Amino acid sequence: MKPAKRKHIYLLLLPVLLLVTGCGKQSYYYPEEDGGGLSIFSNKGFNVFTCLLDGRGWKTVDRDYGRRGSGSEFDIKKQFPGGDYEQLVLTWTGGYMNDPNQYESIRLVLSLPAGFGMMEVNALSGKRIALDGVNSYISYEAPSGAPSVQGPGTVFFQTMAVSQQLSDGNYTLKTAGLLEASLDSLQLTSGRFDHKYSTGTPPF
Amino acid sequence: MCRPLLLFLLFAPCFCTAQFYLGPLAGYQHLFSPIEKHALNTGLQAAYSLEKVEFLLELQKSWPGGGKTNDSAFTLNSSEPTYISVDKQLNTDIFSVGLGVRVWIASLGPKDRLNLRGHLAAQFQRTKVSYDKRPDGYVLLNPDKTMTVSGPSIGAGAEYMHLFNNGRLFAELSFYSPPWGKYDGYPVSFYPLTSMSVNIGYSFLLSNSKQ
Repeated sequence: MKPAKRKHIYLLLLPVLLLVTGCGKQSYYYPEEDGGGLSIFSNKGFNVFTCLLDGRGWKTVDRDYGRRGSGSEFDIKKQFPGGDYEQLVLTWTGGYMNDPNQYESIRLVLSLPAGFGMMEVNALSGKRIALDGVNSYISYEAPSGAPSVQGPGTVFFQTMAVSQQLSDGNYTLKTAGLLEASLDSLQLTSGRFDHKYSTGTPPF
Repeated sequence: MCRPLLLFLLFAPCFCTAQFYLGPLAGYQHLFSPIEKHALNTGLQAAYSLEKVEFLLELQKSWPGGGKTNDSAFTLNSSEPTYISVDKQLNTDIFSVGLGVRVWIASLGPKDRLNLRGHLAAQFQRTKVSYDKRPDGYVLLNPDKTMTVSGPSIGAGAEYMHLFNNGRLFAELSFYSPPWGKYDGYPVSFYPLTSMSVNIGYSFLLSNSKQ
């Protein structure tokens, strides 16, 4: 009887273990004091983006840690528009705070010389960059197929660091910074982002 | 295993001379922190003495001098420097109430003793954070905020004691752990403080009874 009882105990522990080890959520949201719901500006890998859109708080939600693609709360990729430049694209998925619809996106598109790689991306660290609104811009895409709006703005990368391939085969990406833009009739102010994740495929 | 000790604690007052002391203590406290290092320590100590063992009730309040450091702030405004440094002031209040035991381990003379002390206390620490005013548009990176932590802490130390007819003068060196409690999860750059105290105190004999 005793071994059988022990087995039951292990079965009871299994869901707990799955909860501890299986969850991929690594987002931490620390609201700024008197910040209207904005998160603090951090560079510790809290995996969050917040901003004000016409004064209303907007944030990413429960980003899927380490997962890239349309389902994640944050994505970074290279885009080939043609011509003598390529684009670095950072996309955040989220929505207005206290709004059940959390599938809007804000995108930062930054033109870099064609063929850019990790070295050029890492060189963005510490740089404040004006976005002209045409080749480099910020866009906001509302849900339900509403047309996206884009415009000029400014981004500051306090941190931008993509590691070489680590011994476990992964790459680590860290980025943190500030963002603001004029998107047609919409003003994006007080944007701040802080991300850190590992990925098995090279980001660029 | 613990029964003899429990019996001793229960019946010891019946077999020996019991004395009750009360008195203040004050001294210097060194804080193991990169920012706040020095504090004035004050306290009040009550002791129930059973010859070689005493039981203590102690209140302590520390008055740290605070410490200054700085954080970084950044702006998107292209007409301003991207980065500035903003001064930050930390001021921690420490208060504890604890139970302790004092054991007489050696005589250094007819009226001089060497004691060891151990404490279990409830400790409260509140670190107040304030920033200097910064120009509009600058955003602090990893800002701290005022935090409170409270919980149990332990302490231990050694003590020299000189006996007078109606009291004792003591000088002690003791260490206190930080409170075992968590901040509210906010990522502050500081942490609960460990302290080392050098105190001098005098305890007045309030009652002396042969049990």
